Amino acid sequence: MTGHDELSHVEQLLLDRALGSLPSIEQEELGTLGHAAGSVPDEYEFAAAAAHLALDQSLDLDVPASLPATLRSRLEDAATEVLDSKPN
Amino acid sequence: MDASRRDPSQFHILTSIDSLPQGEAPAERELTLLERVGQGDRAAVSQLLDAYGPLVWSIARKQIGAEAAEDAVQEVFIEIWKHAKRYDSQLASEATYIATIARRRVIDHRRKLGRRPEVEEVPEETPDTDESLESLELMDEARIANEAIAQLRPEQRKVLKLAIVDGLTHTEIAESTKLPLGTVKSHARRGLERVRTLLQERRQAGEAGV
Repeated sequence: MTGHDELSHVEQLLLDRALGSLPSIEQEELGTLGHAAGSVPDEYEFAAAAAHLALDQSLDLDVPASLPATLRSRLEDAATEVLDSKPN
Repeated sequence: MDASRRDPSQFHILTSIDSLPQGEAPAERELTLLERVGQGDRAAVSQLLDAYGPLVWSIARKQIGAEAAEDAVQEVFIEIWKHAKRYDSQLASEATYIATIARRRVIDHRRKLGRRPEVEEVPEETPDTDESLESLELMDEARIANEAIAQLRPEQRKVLKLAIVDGLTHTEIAESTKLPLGTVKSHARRGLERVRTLLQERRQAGEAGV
């Protein structure tokens, strides 16, 4: 396999992961190639997120005005816990 | 709705000149909400939840249902609180960055649940809609993505929407649309590749000052 072919293969895996359609076995393969999820998002993931926002808008999907109150409260508690545990 | 929630750029503040290292030329730079959270700014936490909470909630609820979405949203924001300092505004806007983390977590949850996403609309729990989303989308990469998507053929656009918004896998899209699996993969990959290329070109043009 040439370097170009290998890059193409990795790019295809990254594309499929960003699309949410990467089988577990290939997810593992991507991890062994140094593209584990949890690291800084790659450009395909950013592109998928941007496309998601754009499509949401073009489809005129309703987005709630606010979070449910109980969930918001949980998130604020979680933030306090995380920020308190950080040395600042 | 509070007008201050409509434009997250209002939440940016200027760094204090006093905080710059001695000898460094004073330069004013806006801190993003994420950077402020990274510095432990509690007010920024609340503002960030106002600005992006509904977006993350919407992404999660649509793909994995309200019950599972609560846990997913909490995981998304814990990741954001923990790693806010990693955010690089040169790579993506806050909206895109946060949507990226949300999508990643939701995809993980969906995989764990082994659940096929619901393609139909999810009823709203709250009657009002967030007008800030429109301004968010128009001001960053989403606008560029929209241009790229507009250049796609209708069937490519449909496949991309089913993959990205509805969260269907390639196989599920093939079943749903009756298109061959190879065609679905090709449409989805080309569509996303087109978006990425256009984003890359715009960023490079921006860096070059074009």
